[in-house]
Order: sequence, then C-alpha cells, then structure tokens
Amino acid sequence: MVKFDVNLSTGRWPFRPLPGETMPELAAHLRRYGIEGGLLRAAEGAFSSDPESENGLLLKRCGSYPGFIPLLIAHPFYKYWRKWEQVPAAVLYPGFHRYSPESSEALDMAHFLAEKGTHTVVIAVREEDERAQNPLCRIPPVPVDSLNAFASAVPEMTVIALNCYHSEAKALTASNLYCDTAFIEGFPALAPVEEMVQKGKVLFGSHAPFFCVSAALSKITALDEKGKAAMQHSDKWIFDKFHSR
Amino acid sequence: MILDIHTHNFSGSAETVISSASKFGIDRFVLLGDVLRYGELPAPDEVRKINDDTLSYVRRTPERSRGFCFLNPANPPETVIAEARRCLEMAEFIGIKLEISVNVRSPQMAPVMEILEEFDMPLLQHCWYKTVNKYPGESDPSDVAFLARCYPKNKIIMAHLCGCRELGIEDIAECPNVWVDTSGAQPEAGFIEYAVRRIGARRLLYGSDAPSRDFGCQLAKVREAAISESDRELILGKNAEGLLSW
Repeated sequence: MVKFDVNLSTGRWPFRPLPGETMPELAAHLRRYGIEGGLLRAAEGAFSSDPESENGLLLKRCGSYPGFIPLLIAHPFYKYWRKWEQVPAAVLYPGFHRYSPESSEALDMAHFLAEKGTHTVVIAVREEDERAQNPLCRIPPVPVDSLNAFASAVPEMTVIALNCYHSEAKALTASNLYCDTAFIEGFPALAPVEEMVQKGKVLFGSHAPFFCVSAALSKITALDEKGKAAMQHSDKWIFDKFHSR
Repeated sequence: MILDIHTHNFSGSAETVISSASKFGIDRFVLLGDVLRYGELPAPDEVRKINDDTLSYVRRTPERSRGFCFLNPANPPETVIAEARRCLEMAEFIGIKLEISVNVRSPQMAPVMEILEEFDMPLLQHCWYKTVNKYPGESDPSDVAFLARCYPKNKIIMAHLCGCRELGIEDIAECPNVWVDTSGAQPEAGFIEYAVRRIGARRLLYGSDAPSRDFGCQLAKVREAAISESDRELILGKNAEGLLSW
C-alpha cells in the first residue's frame, strides 16, 4: 500500500498539544501504520517570525530520520532562501504569511528556487477547519485561483496543495498541481475526486499528527482495485522524486 | 460490537449508508433523518415527511436500525407535541433529534424536553463551537450545559466532539446527564483521549455523521485513540446500547 506521506508535521502547534508531536513519537506512530517517511513540516513554522531559524530546527529534528524530507519554509519577504543550494522541496504558507502565491514576490522566489534545484513546492492551503480556528486567529485559506496561477507560472516544478476540501481539489487545473487526501471526505471518502485519483493528481497525505493516520489510510482501503493501484502509483512517483536523484 | 449513534438518511443516499455500514463492521445504527432537506425551519408537514422517510428506512432494516424523531421546536407547540408523540409511540423511534432550528436556551424547548422525560428517551442535539459560519439557531456546548441544568432528569447527547472541542467538554463536564458523540468534523487526533480523561469513557458515544462523513475516517478517531480496549468498546457501542436500551 502507500508508504510515503506528503502531509506530516512535527513540533508544537500553538493551540493544543498534538498526540505524537515529537519526531520519535511521530516516526514510531507512522511505522505502526506502515508509513516509512514523507514530507515533513515544522508545526510552529507557520507562525514564526524567524522562518530561517525554524528551518534550522527542523533540519536538526529530521537529522536521524532519513525517510523524512524536511520542508523548509520559503517566505518571499525574507531573503534567506537566496543562499539555498539544492534544497529539493520547500513549503509556502501564504495564508499565515499574508501574501498571494501569484504575487510578483512569490513568483520571483519560486523562479529563483527552481533555478537553484528546488523541484517541489508544497503550499499549505489551511492547517485547520476554519470553523474550529481560535476566534482571535483566523487564517484565511489560500484561494484556488491563486494556486492555479502559481503552478502555471512554474511549470518545471511539482506543486502540492495540502489540505484542500474536495470542492477546491476539483478546481485545481494546472497540470503540475496536486492535492492530498487529508481534508477530502466524501462518502466514500475519495469518491468526489475519483477521476483525479485515476489521473494521479491525488497524493497520500494524512496531516498527522493533527489528524489520525488511519483515517487517511482508510480512504485508500475503500477505493476499488483500480483506485488503489493509482494511489500506489502516485505514492511511488512522489517518493521517487526525492529518492532517485 | 459497533453502534453508530449518528447517521442520516439523506434522500438518494440512505441505501448506500445502510449497505456501507456492514463493510465497516457497524452492527447497528441510528438514523436521524434528512434534517436539512427543507432548510433550517421546516414546517410541520415537512417535519412529518422527514420522519416518515426515517420510518420507512428503519422498517427496511429493523434488526439493525432505529430512528430518532426530528422536530422543529419553532413550530406551534401543539404540532411539535403531536409529531413527537406520533413518532415516539412507534417502536422504530427511540429518541429526538434537533438540528439548528432554535437555540436550546429557548423556552420553545420545554415541550420537547417534557415529552422526552415522559418517554424516558434521549435528545440528540447538534452542537458546535464555531468561529465562522454559525447559523442563527445553532447551539454551542455552553447552551447544551444550560439545557442540561434546566432539565436534570433528561438525557442529552451533545453531537460532534471535534466541533465542540476541549472547551465544549469542559462546559458539560459537570452535567452527568450529558453524553457526547464523536461524529462529524475532520478526523482530528487527540480529542477522544482528552474527553476520556476529563469526563470518562462512559459518557462518549461513537457516531459518524454519515453520509456527510465517511465511516472509515470517523471510526479511525476511536480506533486510533490511545485509550484502553475496554474504554474503546464502551465508546464504540456498549454505552449507546445502555443509553438507548437497545
């Protein structure tokens, strides 16, 4: 089945303790469900005013966990990323950092990173259901149109929009733009995006430790054989992007 | 044994809910009706149609399902009472479901609570602490706690643990006549553990909110929770069996 999770976080979320938020706990928990690694973000990163230091901390946490690819935060208004060389993947938090992915600053940064060897950009569309956010800290989701515009502007990159609802996922049109499974829950869970699954546009992402890993896995289990094979194929494809270079 | 206390028989999807329940090992389920089919404030004849629909589905799977009678307490009280009595006198109905027609602090709740006490059946109340998109008649956990204190002899199930969140658990912690169902919202981790620590497993009931939600995702919240196996069994069905006498 799937083994690589594109939607993982470690560290302290400011609003509540997450079960298994430390790296040893997270890795052990995922292993129980057959997940060997994935794309990993720092839970504190979205709120930090010092993303470069957060990136340093994430790299340290990831150090002894080779299956996990650290997603360094790229913030268009800080220029630390100009020093980056061969960083395979970065994460953007446009809602938290208050910019549009289609702004000239964000696109200039993306072009720069692409030239320096970054092949994948992950965009956190949201981290929580907006209805459940702290009333004093409402973070707007990233609009789908701006995701399409961003991805179309950097066709050489793979762009993954995390935590889309299925209505948003279905509106992702750029050919290099993918979504993950975490927030998609129809009946059965992936039914609303069945066609996208077949086209390899939906990647396995659990959003652990915010969400239950087994919830994401159950979405795959509920697919028919063709759907399972498609998810397995897309899981291997994204895994290979980080392990075959 | 798994008893799902929170499913809906939306038009066109009830058959799928019933057949899917088996695939996920759900032995029995409570159908709460297509509660928003006619909007937030359905008229008496619309409420009756919703309950008739529930009845017909329960009669198709009598060994596995029971219904809750849906009501709009904002309708004239005599119609509310008549519809409640019509339903609760049938063996197929074992409780009352309220959605977002009125906030439960409203005096319009009185006839509903009185008839529930008479029949010794629980109220299942939609509930959520919402930062955005709150409906005018929607209730939050502090409202449910208020209701529970006004009617200490009534049994109340507060729906949507992950929507009520930690504060919602605190609100009802000192109300022994309130149970909490795990249905709905995203499959967020950690809330079951919090609730077990704070109010104990005996006051938690597994529910899915299918077909608005997926059985597998919603079961995962209980199955993955770091709790004892005996607590898990209580939550997945034993508590509901006792509460509903079914």
